Amino acid sequence: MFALKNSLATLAGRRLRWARSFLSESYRCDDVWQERLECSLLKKVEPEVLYHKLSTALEHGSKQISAVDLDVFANSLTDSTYLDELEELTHKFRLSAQTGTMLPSTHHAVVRLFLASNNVNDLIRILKDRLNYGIFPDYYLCNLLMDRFIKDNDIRNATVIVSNQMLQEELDNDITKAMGLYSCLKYITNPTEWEEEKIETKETNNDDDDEEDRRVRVDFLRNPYFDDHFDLADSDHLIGKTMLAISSKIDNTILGNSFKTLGLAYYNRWNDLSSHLEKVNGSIHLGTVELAVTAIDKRAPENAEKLKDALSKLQIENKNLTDETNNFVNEAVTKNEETEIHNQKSIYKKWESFRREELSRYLEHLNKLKRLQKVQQAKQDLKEKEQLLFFFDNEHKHDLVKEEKMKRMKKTVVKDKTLKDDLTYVPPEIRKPGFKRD
Amino acid sequence: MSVKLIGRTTNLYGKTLWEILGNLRTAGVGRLVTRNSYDRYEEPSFFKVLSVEPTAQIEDKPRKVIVHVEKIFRGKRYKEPVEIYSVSYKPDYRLIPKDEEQLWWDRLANCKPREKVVPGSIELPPLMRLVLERDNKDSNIKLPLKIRGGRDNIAQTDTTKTASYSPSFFKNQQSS
Repeated sequence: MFALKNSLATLAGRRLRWARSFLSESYRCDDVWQERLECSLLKKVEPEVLYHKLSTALEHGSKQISAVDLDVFANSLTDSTYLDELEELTHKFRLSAQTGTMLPSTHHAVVRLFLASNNVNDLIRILKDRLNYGIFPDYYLCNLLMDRFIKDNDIRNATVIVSNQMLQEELDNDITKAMGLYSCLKYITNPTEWEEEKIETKETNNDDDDEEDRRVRVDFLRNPYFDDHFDLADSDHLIGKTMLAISSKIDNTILGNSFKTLGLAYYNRWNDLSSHLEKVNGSIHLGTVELAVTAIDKRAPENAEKLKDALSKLQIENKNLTDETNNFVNEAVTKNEETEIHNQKSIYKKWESFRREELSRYLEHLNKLKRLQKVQQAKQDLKEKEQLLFFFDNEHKHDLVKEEKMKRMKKTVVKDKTLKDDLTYVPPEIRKPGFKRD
Repeated sequence: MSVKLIGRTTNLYGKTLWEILGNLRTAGVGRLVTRNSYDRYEEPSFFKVLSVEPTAQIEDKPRKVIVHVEKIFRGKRYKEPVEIYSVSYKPDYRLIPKDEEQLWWDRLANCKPREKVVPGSIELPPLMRLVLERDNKDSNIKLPLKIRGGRDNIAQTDTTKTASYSPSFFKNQQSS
């Protein structure tokens, strides 16, 4: 009975936490986003036929597809039936030379489709693998994604979004900054496993250790290199760097100080942390010190005691860090939400016409290519016909051409013969200067 | 099964250009990139990315990109944009973080232009002078020296100076 009660309580608690959401329903702009389907162009699209056409073009035809085609395919989808196909197409498109031309609406279509069909793990994998998929969320999408993940109590994925944004070094949007700080804080207070599949891969590695090494030939060996940015894999380091990056971009001094301390501690910049603690003027929020101390305890640097001393000497503002961050997010949201919704709606409207223009431009380009090809073909045909009709008039010329050809052929043949048959060749003796023979 | 890679070794360390630009939204247009092998110069050398055009990925080889950049080499700003294509595969590049960008521009502004002054002429070769003296001809002729044209050649002639065939000149020429 007690257990049942307990589970009920946790369920209720979870539901309460689920309801936690910063952005309003209207931020999602779902109605405007759905309006794109009313366009006659997207109505006509049959996903299966289009996918077949595109994938055959990628594999057998010109090995490349146009960005507009991909965009039309991505935008025409409404349910999870073609998710795998969409993923495959974006991957192949990314590897082709056309990848620089990807339309901005494609990013939105892919992210929104994966989100709508609740395929969060795949979405996160795609967003993390930027080189192979090239799907980059903008500020609006980041806010949308983070809000959704926070609402679903999936803090880890929310931090993945904001740390990705840190890697882009694009942290100018107020809502993104605030929600990023919130999710980072939530994650470090209650850390979960950062990567799910890591354990499995380790096991498979152990099994095959006994077998012989497989040798692979490469042109050049890569020297080991760690750039401290894109190569960061440790969750603490990523989150620490994110908090550090955001903390320097917010106006709130106390919050900035708190998060700078946390960021340095989690990013394991011990020397920077100690110099920051010496210089810091102003106070930090309640709860910061405890979190920083857990980070220090986890890594145990040499100057741990000194750092802890310095931490305990800091002035502490009598307000809870979590509550303050919460307020900070709410403030940012109330300040910017309206304008952002408005902007995004106009952007979505613009994309509709933009897509049609782009498509007509692409079709025109194709038409032009086709016509050029036709002209080329006609020219070739005319030339052949001319040769046939006026052969005896120009016989002299043709003979000359033929002679030239024969000469060239003879020359190459002779060259080959001399190389092969010259057995009398003796390589010259090479003497070093100053070398005397006895 | 562990994989052992076999291939030629290099002195380069860093990332290929695609690994940097492909990881950035809008392919890193407007960002600063530098090469780690330029660290040997004390003057700042870096690129500002102007446009990026990736090429198709071929199997597992490092991907090449056609990038047009504004090049700053050893404190000198090139007037025309430079195309990086054939060397874009080299794992030698490094992204400059946005908050350090101003630092690099400041370094460029504060950097002294490189100077190298070379003598404008050289005396006659010793043997030739002896021959001329033997023939009672004017042996005081000086031969003018030309500076090779090159984008990065900053040498300037000082016409008042004359280079001579001093012992150090022969140091590298003599065979032992």
